[in-house]
Amino acid sequence: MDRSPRAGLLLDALPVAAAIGVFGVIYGASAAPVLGQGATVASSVLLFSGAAQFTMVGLAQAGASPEGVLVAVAALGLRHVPLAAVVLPRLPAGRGRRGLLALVLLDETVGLAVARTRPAAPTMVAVGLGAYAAWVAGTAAGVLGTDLLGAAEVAGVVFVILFVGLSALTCRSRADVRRAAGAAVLTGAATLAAPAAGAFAAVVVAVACSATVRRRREDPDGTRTTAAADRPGTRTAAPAGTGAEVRP
Amino acid sequence: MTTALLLAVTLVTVASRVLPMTLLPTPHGRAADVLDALPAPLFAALAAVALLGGGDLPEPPVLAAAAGALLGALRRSLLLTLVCGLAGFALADLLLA
Repeated sequence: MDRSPRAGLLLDALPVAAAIGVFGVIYGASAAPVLGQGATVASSVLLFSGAAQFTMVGLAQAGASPEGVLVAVAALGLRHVPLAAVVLPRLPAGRGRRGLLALVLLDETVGLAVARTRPAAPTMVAVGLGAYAAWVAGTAAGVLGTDLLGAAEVAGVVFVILFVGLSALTCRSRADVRRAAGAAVLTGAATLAAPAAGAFAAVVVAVACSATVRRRREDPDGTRTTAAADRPGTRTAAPAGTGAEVRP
Repeated sequence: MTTALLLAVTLVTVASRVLPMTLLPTPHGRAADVLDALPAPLFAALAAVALLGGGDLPEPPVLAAAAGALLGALRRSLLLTLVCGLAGFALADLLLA
């Protein structure tokens, strides 16, 4: 890999790590009184899932049963199904490798893997490992009482920024922009009407909006993400003409 | 929170990632088209949840952050998106404080 893609990868990984690190501090500070310092850090090392961990702490604090905690975490985990379905055509074949890549299956790693023309697997690994290090370090810092100036205030907005950015980066046409805007409006309305619907509503609405896509044709050079993925050991090529070039 | 529960939650979370990645078939045809088009609306929908998940309309600085992020995203740089988003948030917070 030459220098420019490496620089682009680093510049993509840094904001993700920074945002996740901030959230890690918040998690560490809020979870330590409930779980204890050791268990808080251990949870970040083992789970690497902000949604699951915050849910676990909230339910534990509310006195929920272990079964209730497990059901809630399992429901949150359903979000990984569409993420996996989106990124799989871009990954090399082989269950072993895919199983390892699953350990860094995050919204952010998938978003960057599909938004860029560089190979998806190294993108997921680099961004995922950076995010993991930041999450664990942030958790430890929060447990130790680090109080980043305004961290709590900023934490509430960083994922809005990240998701807006990832949505924009994965738009490759005006039709994509229209579907994204429609999904945002519909999900916003659903969330205001039923806040508990949250991420579930997001997935349902997004799938419904993406189902309006017109059937794609084969590109002149024959690249099409799913067709290439059928052949064992073949890396998939990004769709031609995506315009998603790496740019620092 | 017992060690056994933490390990069980870990197992569920890891399984929720590993199972789809190893068991889902590679999509073909129409399913492939839909999945190829999924990321943009999915992240936009998640942004809406992050904005409105509390059930209330967001504060103006948060809206300014989203607007700043959209401007930064025009350059297709996630770093610039984050910087512009935080700048929008800080500026609005300062002006409205």
